[in-house]
Amino acid sequence: MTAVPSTPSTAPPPDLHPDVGAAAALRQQPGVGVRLEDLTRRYGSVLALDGLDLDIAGGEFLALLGPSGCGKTTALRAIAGFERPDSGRVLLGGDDVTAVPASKRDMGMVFQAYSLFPNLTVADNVAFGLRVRRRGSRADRRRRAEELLELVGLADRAGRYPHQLSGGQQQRVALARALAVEPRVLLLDEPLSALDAQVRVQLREEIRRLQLELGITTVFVTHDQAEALSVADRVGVMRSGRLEQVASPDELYERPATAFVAQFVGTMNRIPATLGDGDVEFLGVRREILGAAPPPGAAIALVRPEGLLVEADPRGAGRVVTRTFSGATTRLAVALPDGLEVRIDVASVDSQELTPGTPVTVTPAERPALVAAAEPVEEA
Amino acid sequence: MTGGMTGAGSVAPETPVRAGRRGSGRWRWGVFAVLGVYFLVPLGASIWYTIRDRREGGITLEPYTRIPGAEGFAEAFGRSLLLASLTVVIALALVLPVVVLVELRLPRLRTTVELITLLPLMLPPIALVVGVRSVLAWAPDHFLDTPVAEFMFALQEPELPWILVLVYVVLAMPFVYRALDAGVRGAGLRTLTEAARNLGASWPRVMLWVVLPALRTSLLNAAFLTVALVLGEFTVANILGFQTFPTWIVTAAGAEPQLSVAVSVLSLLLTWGLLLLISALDRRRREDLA
Repeated sequence: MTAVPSTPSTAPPPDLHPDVGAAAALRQQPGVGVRLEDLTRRYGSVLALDGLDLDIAGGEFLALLGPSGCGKTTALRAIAGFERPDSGRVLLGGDDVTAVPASKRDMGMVFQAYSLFPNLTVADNVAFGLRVRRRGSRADRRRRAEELLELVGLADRAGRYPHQLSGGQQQRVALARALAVEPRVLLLDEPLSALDAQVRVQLREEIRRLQLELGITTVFVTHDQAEALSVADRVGVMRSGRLEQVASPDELYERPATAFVAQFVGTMNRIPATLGDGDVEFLGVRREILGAAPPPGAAIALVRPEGLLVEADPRGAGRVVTRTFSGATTRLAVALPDGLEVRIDVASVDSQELTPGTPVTVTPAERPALVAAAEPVEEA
Repeated sequence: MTGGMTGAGSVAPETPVRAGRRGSGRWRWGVFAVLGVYFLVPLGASIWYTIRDRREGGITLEPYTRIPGAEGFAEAFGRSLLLASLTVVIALALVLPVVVLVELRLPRLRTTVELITLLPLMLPPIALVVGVRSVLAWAPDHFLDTPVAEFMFALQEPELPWILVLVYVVLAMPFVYRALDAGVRGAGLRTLTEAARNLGASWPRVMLWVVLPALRTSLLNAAFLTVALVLGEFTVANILGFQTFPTWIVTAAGAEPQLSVAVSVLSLLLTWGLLLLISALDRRRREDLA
């Protein structure tokens, strides 16, 4: 399908933090736009990129999300210059850089694997890009590295070696190193995937804060939907080398363009439904159809866990199977007739009596429902 | 920026302790004892042979003190060290680019390259040297009065027999390749080189500033193994008729057996020292990566 047009839904808010040191210097560089035109890349019989089109606005934070093998990393590497597409173009600020080597693209990249040079100190790692580009004197480079380390909160680790840092610290140094060369685009290739859960959340928030502060165009590849939805201006969901949808996180969650997106982003119940004249019937009630109706035939209603209401009812056809407490909300798995099982989120304070085995009635919330043709959906 | 990140995963987990199976300690010590007897008894006997004063009784270090001044020792040992140095340089210059290229650009050729580098182990050195000798005997006559003949003679210069260097490079290839390959695989070279390229480094800079430092331990391993091989290689040098450290030991054994054994002991200890150094460097590398 064709990607949704690329207007950022959230403009970077200006001046969240005072301009100091490296941040001030970096802000002088306006973010440049990136455009991918009909990119195709094949590895043997595998089509990693299948005519990928994508527009990324200057200063935008775009996340590429998708299951393993969907082509998101290949797309990022094509932007970085590590993959030469079989066909198509990569445009940076309007200039065709498809044939420009990686070393001359002026991009900063943070890798999934730890990539700090083990023989160099933290400060020397950060100054590496400046050194190879012969920018400034040794003292200038040192000062710049210290500013960048200050920016990521590691100024006191300047003299240490990478093996003396934790994984989260190493990735923050890698981020400082990528930013030190004042790149036109920042590329993040699953930089948080090797970190533990708490550090991931901290670091992703910090990355977003820096991106807003610096206004740098950023492409963030991840397979973690929570990561993508929480930090990006827009999220592009990829499947089999193509974009299924590019939209703001809210739109992606509320109005997924395809069944695959609906299934991949967040939890989605798939409930057999009957199409009516402009509406759809499922779980014994009729609801308006959200967006375009599927072609006539068997259909399924796609309903989020918070889009179903559950009530304890001794005569109810459903039965609570499991109950998972998650703080403010509790997720119930409810078995319905015909082997259907749905997930329902309820406020924890209202869920005390909904214990496993409780008979319940399940009804859809009063809102339009997303409906898709009842075709099998690939596992994400 | 006002606030940096703090406390992001700075605590390293404790090393898990695995309980050993009951009785495994006794087995371990038993194996160590057998191995110790196997290796240490001949070494101890050799050392005792070299320090026993047969004429006046007691102990003497005289065979060891005579080594530096022994006839032919300095030349043979110096030649072997030179041969070892040249072998190290050429072997690394040949194998390192291949290993890096296979890792970064041609991973599909890895198995083929591994097989090729194993050939010297499959081919007995005696077969190799007989072939080399045949070529050295045939080529100068066949190419008489041509630069090829001159080249063949130059290869056999007794002061610096380049032909030995070339043969040693072939013999060392399996060890050099494996040492470097292990380093390349453990160093995450692909990510490091891509990071350097992304930061603007040209390929020569990437090799000089990133690849060589990242493989420092592996390069040392490969170099030490090659030095140990050259300092202990007897067959090829002897059959081709060159005087090297090992052939000198055998020659000296006839006239001065005590001196010869003393040199052997020192040579063995030198080789062990090199291997221990490799082991220590490797352990440090593992600790650094942990």
